[in-house]
Amino acid sequence: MKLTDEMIAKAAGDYEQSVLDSLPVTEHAFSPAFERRMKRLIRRQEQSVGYVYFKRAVCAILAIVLCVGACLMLHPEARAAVVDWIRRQFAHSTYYGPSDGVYTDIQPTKELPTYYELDWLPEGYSLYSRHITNEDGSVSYCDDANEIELQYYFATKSTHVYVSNEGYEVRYVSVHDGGADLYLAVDENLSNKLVWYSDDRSVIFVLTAPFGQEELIAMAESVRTGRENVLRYDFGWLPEGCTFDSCSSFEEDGSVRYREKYDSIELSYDSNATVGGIYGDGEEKCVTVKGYTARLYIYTYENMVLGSSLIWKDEEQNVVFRLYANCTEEELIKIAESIIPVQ
Amino acid sequence: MLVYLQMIETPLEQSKFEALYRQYRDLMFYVANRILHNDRDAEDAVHNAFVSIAENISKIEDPMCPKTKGYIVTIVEHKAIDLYRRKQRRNVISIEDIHLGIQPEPDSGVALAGCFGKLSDRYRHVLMLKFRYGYDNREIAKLMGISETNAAKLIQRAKQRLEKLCEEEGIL
Repeated sequence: MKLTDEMIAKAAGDYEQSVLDSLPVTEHAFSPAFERRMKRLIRRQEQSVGYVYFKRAVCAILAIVLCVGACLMLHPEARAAVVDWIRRQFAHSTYYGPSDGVYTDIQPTKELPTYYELDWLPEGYSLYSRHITNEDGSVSYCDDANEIELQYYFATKSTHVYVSNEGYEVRYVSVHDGGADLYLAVDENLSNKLVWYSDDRSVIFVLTAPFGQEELIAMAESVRTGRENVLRYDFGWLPEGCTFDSCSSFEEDGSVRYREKYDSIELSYDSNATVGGIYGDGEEKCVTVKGYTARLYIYTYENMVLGSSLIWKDEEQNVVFRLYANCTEEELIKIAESIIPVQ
Repeated sequence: MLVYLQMIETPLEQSKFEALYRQYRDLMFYVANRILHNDRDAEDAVHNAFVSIAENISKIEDPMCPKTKGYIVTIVEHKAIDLYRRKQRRNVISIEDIHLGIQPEPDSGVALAGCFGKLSDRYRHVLMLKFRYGYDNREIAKLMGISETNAAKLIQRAKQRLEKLCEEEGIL
């Protein structure tokens, strides 16, 4: 008798039930840092759901408008009814995008895009993390219990920023003598938001913080281009055609990613890690990078190389590096040897 | 036209995600902590699991049904093992003999399920995702952080391993 997919599915279900039966009912007091991270994740879910909701509403509205186009032209009463319905559909989210035909012409390059940070913060807050891509970025600051996050979007033709206004009272305020939308949360447990454009309207800023109007505007008016490097390590050499994709940094670790034609080159660095293993199917061997022993994994399938990973610890800098790329061993080591700290 | 006239969803997915969080976070912590034996690492694993769940929230229909509970446990178990492997000090040599996940009582009552439980964590997880929760190879690859080709190969090897275990037990 042969093992069928149905038998596997049944076995999986029976096994799952036996595992669930063995698990007790427990409780745990989570740390404030965990609660903070989960609040941010739930908030991001709320924004992404709002975007899906909004996009489907727009599709439905466009279909209806096309079908009844002639009727609307002939009947003013019908036009008024549709405009009112459209207004009601947009009531729960506000759209921000490139305005007045101004688009930031972003071409992928090896250079990092401009990034932003806050020059003024309420007492007790310090830098937590930074993340940048070619299209947007974010920087967050934390104290023991709360978080301030500045998100920014480079206003290209494809930029669509939706900010949920459900549960908020929206006011028009001023940032640097320009207009801004202040979202004041009805629920005092939620953070307030401030949304505004840069002077040349090429960047959309969204500031989220558990503070009132005065502090939010003070933080917004203190936004400046970043001075410290987000990137702590970068490549001195890459194969031709690679372009910058994204990077992120935390207190003790960070990463940078470049895009190739069909794949990516990714470097992560951590000053609080050890050289563990790489799990997966492939060939493993030891090589030397900058005089240090490194573990090289080459992932293959039917004599095709799918990618390679290299891990080593730079003892002098006390940093563990992990490098992934889809290239030859020689190229991978050359890329690794070219890694330099960014000044 | 009909596509554009489909029902618009309310913030159902938002409340579903929060409901999952409130309902299962303690259980997820328990599962993760049994593997990691460290509160902070267990919380990291739980957070990573919720990130994965958020990306696949559309796959979950009823937050309270047993299948969803099993799915949640599988995801956090996988994330905890992931974190364990990254943080342990000795090298990981073979994936064949690693059993870090939750083990049920020895007498599972069903022989084939017993063989299923003897699989390594990696093989067991990929078969659960494929045959119990209905993920395709691309989604499994994304969840496990591997290429789609490797995911297909992993599923094939897991099935072969399960078949061999069943033959050794005299089930097949």
